[in-house]
Amino acid sequence: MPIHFQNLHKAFGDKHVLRGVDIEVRNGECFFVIGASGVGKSVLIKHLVGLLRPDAGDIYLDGEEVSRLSEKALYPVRKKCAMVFQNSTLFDSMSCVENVALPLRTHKGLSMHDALIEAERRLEQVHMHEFCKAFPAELGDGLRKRVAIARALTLDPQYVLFDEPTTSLDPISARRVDKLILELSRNYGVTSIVVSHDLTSIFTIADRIAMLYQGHVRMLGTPNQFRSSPDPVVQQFITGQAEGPMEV
Amino acid sequence: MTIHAQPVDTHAELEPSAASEPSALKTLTAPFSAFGSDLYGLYTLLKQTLQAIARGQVDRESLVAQCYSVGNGSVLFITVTMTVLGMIMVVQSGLQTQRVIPELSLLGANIIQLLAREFAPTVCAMMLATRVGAGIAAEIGSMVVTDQVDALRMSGAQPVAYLVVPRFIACVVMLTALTFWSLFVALVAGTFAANTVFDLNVSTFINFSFVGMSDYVVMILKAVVFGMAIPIVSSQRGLTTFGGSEGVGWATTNAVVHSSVAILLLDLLLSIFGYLVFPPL
Amino acid sequence: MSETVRSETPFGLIVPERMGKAVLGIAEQVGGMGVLTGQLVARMLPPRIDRFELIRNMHKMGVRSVGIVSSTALFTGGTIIIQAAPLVVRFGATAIIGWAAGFAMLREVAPLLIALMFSGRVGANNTAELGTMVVTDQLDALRALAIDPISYLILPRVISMIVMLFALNVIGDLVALTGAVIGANALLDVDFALFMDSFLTMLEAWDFVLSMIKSLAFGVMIAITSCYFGLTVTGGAPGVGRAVNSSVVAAAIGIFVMDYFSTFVLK
Repeated sequence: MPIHFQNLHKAFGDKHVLRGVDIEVRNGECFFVIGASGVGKSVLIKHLVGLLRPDAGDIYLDGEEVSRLSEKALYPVRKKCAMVFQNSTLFDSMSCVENVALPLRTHKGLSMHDALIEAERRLEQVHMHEFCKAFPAELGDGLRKRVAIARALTLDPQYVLFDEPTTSLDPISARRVDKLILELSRNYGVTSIVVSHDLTSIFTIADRIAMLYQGHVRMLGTPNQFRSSPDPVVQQFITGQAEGPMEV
Repeated sequence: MTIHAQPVDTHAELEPSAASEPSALKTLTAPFSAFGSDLYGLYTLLKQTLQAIARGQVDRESLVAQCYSVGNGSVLFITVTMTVLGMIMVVQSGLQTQRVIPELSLLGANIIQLLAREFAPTVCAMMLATRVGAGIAAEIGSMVVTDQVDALRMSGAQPVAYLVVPRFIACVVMLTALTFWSLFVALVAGTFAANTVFDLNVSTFINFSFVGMSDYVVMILKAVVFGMAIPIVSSQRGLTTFGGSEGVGWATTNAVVHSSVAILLLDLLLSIFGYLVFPPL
Repeated sequence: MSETVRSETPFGLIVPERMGKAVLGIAEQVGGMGVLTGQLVARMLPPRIDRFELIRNMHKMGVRSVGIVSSTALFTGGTIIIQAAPLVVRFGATAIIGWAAGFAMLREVAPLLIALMFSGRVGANNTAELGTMVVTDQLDALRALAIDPISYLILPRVISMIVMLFALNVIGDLVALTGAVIGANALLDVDFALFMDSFLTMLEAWDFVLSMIKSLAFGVMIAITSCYFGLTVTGGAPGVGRAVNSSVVAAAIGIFVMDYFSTFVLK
């Protein structure tokens, strides 16, 4: 199993967000982590690249335990496991093409000139070529998301983490992002972990899903297994009901 | 009543904008017209604030909170800086005087007058501009970009009366009070420095013979004017914020810098005024 | 940080408790700045700097401050003359007004005021930028791209601030001198030749060097405080505002304290 979260515990003050989470992700799959807001989905995936450290538990990436590595030792991990943040998180002091060029310059040793050319090419792949020179603050959420994805893919990672990629996007942009994530998995064998509460995404592109509830994995399975689950909490979430047994 | 606020439009997709014909005249006069419209905006805000005060639209709770934040919040900072300044002034002036005449008996008298006319109101105001101006712009600016100011308008409250007036009154009152405090602190510190570094005894140093009513008038006048300038400039920067968090950052910076420059300019003008109207003894 | 139920502090201990907290808070900040300085120094040997970030920052901090610093210096030059005027009139010392103004200007007023303006203009903006980057996860994004934020982001800014403040100090000295000359001419009928005569003959090279040393020290102080407070922001947008406030206040206090020590140490 290339990615394995083992008995993960994480608390912020006296808020125990993760209370023993166990998840295994298979090679090349499109794995979704779902749950209500604040349940700890983003917290979970940030552990994989060392942006957060667990209070207890282990995390394995490609057979290597990564939760106790130093910042420096994490660099190779971060190069093969990229992350697309919730708010796209582009560097607002740089234009889009410069954003994408940055990892190319730093890690592939390209000169500024070559990096910009390569960055333009990658932006073209996500249909953002006309916005190369634009600054993030000038763009809407949907466009920024695509640039963020292009930037995450610059080092050709084997794993990509998506933190709520379709939240705050209009339906068309959201479906385009879904398509992109699916292509990565099917055509390039990239293993993706997607944090989401977008039901359309979940039931369109997910291979397997883990639902977090009250600090544990409430259910783990395929979309079909979720649809036919008798668990009332699961049903409430996937059918999007306001009323129900779920305590948020 | 309009407030000069740029529309917050961070969700707009990029569109090619229709470029207006650039003319040489426009480019040359652009900085001046920008400065002019800025001054007009400040003047309008000042007028609105004074009108609101005249109408009695003062939120007492907010006023007290602002007075506390401006006054008590700055007292320690002012005390530290004025203590240091007082000592530095004495040492530097003493060294300078010693190079010309060996006698330092009038050092205290000269310094006290300088403090009253110049350094106490100005340095106090500059310090307050940094501490309070940034805070005002940041608070109001964040409210603008998170649409809270619009929400205020929707609920019937007047942004100027609600946001600017309490800060305005608090700054004027507190700065005047703090100026007197600064004068005192710098005096005490300076006396100490004069005693330890130049062996001047206390009674020689504390000499008010050069300080007259006119110096106090100038001092209070400066304090009041500076106290009006800081909140007006800072609030104006806060109210015209646009562009999200980065915009708030710019508003904050500009508030501090423009308040400080305004203080220095007003100081120059008021000093000239003081020199001409109340010639020093 | 969640607050558990606190027992009531006895009335007499409230002030000491607050003072204790304040002291601890300040100690934490000073310590944090020391750590940051250490991290920066470590990344300077051998020097690894992103050229583009360095140039971008120098341009942003230097070029855009010239206007502010120049106007400050000009007004200050004039104001010094006005304040010196009563003493000059009193002692009939028009012959040495050039030196008198120059002495105060170079050694004290110019470096101090320019540093304060720089702190307000560049230091505050820097804290706001860094703080915003922290709260919008851009710093995390850098780390996720396996890029060290201290080398890439902070070091160019620190170096730019120190270099630019130094350059601005030189420019400011010249502009302030111009302001003083104009003021002396207008208010005291002292012509350019008379002013410059005492200025050039009675001032020592050391006075100028002192001005430069001070500006370097102030530059370091402003750079470290502004970066420290930017990096340690918590609490979203209002947190950024608070950090900007704290950074400018801390820089001002630091500048004054440094000025005080240098006054006594470097006579």
